[in-house]
Amino acid sequence: MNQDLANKLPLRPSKAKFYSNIGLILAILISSAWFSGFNVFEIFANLRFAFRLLNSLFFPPAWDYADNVIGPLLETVQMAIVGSFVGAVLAFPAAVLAANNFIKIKGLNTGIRLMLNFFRTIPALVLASLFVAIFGIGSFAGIVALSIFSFGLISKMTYESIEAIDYGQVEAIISLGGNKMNILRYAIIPQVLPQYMSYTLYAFEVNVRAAAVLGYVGAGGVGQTYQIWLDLRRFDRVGIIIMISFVAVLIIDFISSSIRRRLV
Amino acid sequence: MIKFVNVSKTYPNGTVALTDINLEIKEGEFVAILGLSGAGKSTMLRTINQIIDVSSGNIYFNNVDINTYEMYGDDVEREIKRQKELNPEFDETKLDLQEIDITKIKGKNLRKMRSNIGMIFQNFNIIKRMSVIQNVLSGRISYNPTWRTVLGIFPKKDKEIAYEALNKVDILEKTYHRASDLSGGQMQRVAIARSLAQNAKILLADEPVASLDPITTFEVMKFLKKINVEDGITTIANLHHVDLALEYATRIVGVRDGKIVYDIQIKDKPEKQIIRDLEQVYGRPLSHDDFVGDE
Repeated sequence: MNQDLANKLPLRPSKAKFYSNIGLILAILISSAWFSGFNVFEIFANLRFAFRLLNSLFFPPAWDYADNVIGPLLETVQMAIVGSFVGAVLAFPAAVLAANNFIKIKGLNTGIRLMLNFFRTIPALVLASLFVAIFGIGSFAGIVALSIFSFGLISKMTYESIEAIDYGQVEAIISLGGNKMNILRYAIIPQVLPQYMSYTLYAFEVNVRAAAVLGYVGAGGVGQTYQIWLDLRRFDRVGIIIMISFVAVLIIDFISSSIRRRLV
Repeated sequence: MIKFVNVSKTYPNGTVALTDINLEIKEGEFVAILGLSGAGKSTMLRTINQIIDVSSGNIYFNNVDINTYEMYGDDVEREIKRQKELNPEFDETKLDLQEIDITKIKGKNLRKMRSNIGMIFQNFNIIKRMSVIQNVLSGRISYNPTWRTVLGIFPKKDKEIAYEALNKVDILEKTYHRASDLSGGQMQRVAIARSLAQNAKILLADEPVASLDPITTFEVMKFLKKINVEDGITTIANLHHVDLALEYATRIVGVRDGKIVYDIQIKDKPEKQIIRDLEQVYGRPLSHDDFVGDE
């Protein structure tokens, strides 16, 4: 390089920040592993137990039990469908109230957001246990749990979409003499509807997986059968449930995500 | 028809957009507002329909019926005649025409005032996921109860108004197309049709052709001129290009640093002189970027 160019070249920025960030991330990772008692050697020491379990789960598959899985699995999917639907219906008005570019009342926006965060903090499994205590054992408790879980998820993502809309269309409706309802109907809903439907489908996908374990606390679906056969140590039957559920989830995810791709 | 009196606007972040604007616009004028970007043109336009409120000053509209907030403009007789054509039972003795300061009204009355003032935008701001007809019908929202507009069920009379508006801007054949399938120029014509359906007496055009190619630019400008001349719609347009202003407007208002620094009726002065004057408004010599060029 000629001297002239070297003189003109600005000082190279220091990489100290980059290295200190890496160091920080490593420190957090290692201390977390230490305090939570994670040990890589533990995995290898118990590897043969893991293989033995895998063997009893899937070899040979308990095909004779497959027929009994379909019913509870179907119930799981139905729970997920109803739960996502109810959650989505409740989520839209909540999202509208939470979005700070539509209703500019800070207290209201924050209040709704706090409520949404509260619902999203409680794991679906805990919600389900609580509702089993209220409504008794069965899929109804599970559906209520999934509804609340999807409500929190969908409304959070939807209000973020509402806040990101093109404001020009809102201006256009205001200039037509439109009121708040008109703005909602003609400027906001057309812009966020595809995203909202996509979030609902995503919640449905998550719900199918979540619903599969809800039965463990008595909230209906395929989880109830898991519980029975795990308790009786019939791992071959647990294995066939896992396999069939896996295929079902795969199919549902495929269909749902291909619809979502077309939506947005 | 519109009168700005000492209008100033300072945004909450401290930006001074308008300083002491005084301007009177008569019915039927086609006013082109010229100036560099950031001069305050957009803010000025948006204060007229109060999408942006003013910090101080007043914006008056003359001959507004205090019962309906319908504007009767400068030529009251003509507007009464038009109202009678629309509604044979129209009773002019019930009119109570007053001067209204739009900066002082709120809520429902403000919305009624706004329904007299159409607006089109650089980005068209039509609803792309709806059909053309639904877009034009949205111009009728202020004339219908909310439940109807929310359900999207408009009376037959409104549909006829919408078809006529589409026909006026020569796009009736696209009536049932989805708006997103249209070209930029077609979208802007749908936006103009929406303002026509709104029965606007004033049209605010914020850089209406800035995202269009030259050929479509002239097309859209011709439609703006057409509704200005044929329907007497007072038009106020922020424009980028000096030659468009000279060809289509009747008056040029120059804005610089939030102040009106130039105001002239185009017929009163030779074009070359106006172009020279505009170099003062822009604070720089004009270049070919300031002109669209020949059609």
